Formats: sequence, C-alpha cells, structure tokens
Amino acid sequence: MSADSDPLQRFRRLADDCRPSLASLLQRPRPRQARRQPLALRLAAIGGVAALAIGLPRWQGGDMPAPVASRLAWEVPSDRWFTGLDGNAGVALSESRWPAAGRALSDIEE
Amino acid sequence: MPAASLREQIESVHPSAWRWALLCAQGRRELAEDALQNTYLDLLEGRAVWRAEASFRTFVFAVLQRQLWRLQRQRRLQATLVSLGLREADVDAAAAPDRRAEGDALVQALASLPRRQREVLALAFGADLSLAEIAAVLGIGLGSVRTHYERGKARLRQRIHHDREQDP
Repeated sequence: MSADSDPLQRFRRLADDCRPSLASLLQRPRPRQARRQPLALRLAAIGGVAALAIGLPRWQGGDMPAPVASRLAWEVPSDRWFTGLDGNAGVALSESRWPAAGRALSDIEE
Repeated sequence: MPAASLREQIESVHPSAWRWALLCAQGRRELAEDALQNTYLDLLEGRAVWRAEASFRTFVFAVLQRQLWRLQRQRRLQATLVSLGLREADVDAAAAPDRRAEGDALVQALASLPRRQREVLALAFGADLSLAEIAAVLGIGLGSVRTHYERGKARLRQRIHHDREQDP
C-alpha cells in the first residue's frame, strides 16, 4: 500500500503538518468559560423545571368558562376545568371521561 | 525534576501526544489544543507530578486522557445548556475547526467506533504506545485492551474498505 493510500500514514502527515509548537500552546490564552445568561433568566428556567417536577399547575375544580366549554364540548364532556399558572383554562381529562371523548372524536372524523 | 529538563521531556512526547489528542478529539483542533495546553501547564506548574512509577510518556498520556475526558464532558454539558437557552454559545470556542483534520478518512472511521475501541486504537496508531502502555494509560487490564484493539481494528478496516468502495 502506498503512503498516499494508507490512511494511517496520511493522518500522521496531516497531524504533523498542523501540529502547534509547544511554545505556542503554552502562550495561547487559556480556554474561556462560556458566558452565562443573566441570573433572573436562569432562576426562571430552574423554577419552571421545578414546577413541572412537583406537579404544577394543579387541577382546580369549578365551572368551565363558556367559551372554553363550547370549544371543547365535543372533545371532553367534562364539568371540571383548571387554571394553569399562566391563567389559561384547560380541561381535566379524567380516565372515566376519556372513552366518551374518544367516541366524540371518532364521530366527528366519520 | 528541573523545569528545563521537564520541558525537554514534554517536547519529546509532544508530536505523538498531538497526534493522539487530534484523533481522540475527532479532528477538532481547538479541543485537542485545549487538552494539551491544560496537560502541559498541569505538569509545568506542579499540579500533576511524575513520580517515576511509570514511564514519563505513559504518565503524560494518562494526564492528557483525563483532560480530554473532562473537556469533552464539559463541552457536552455546555452544548446542552446552550440548547436549553441557559447559556450563550461560546463563539470563540466553536470557531475555526480544522476541516482537513475533521474530514480525514482515519479520523472519520475512528469516530464511528465505540469510545473504548477509539481510545485504544488512537493510542496505538496516533501515539505508537504498546498494548501494555495503553492499559496503564486507560487504567484497564491488558486482556481488555487486547480485545478492544482487535475488535476495533477489524471494524476500522471494514469501515475504511467500505468508504473506499463508496468513494474510490
């Protein structure tokens, strides 16, 4: 096998060609740490992850607001709703309700 | 050991240390340079002290191996933090990868191997270490090194032949 077609020889030549000198390695600036995002942003992200980990937003009982009820009536015939931390309403998908929701969905698809 | 003598010793292992670091860093020149710089400074500033229990070359490679592991771990963590938006990308660190080295056939073929096989073969081919020296650097048994070496070599040969057939 010729030196050109031997991958090992070719790599060695390439590595030797681009080898930095010892002096240049010792004089170059030390590796820099990546800049950090502002503290507030990091705390918010950590808080978000922690909230998800401990199970927030929590389900809350109560009457479903009319616009949400009309939009979701065919999806989940539920009388429970919750408000997330951001104030948006959602629907509780209890196990017992889900089969009904599945049937309603298949009706619409048909 | 006097500083001048230590520097001469480092100079003598530098070519093979560079080849090996470049192979382990999968052609990323900047990562290889960081690892070597940290290793040499650790030696010269007394944070890593050679006690003549192993050959100087084996000792340097063991320190370098730990630096490479540490830096690779650090970069993976940084990449994760950047992708989560918790850190800004470090533009300087990502700059100017050595395209020639990254695109080299041997570097690419080695990159496709499992980590242990890659490390063993890089030490054997890049740094010309014996299997016993490789065992000492990686802190694993000689039998294990032999197994990784044989399997890795077979896969490497297969990969290089395959690449040649694809792109003659």
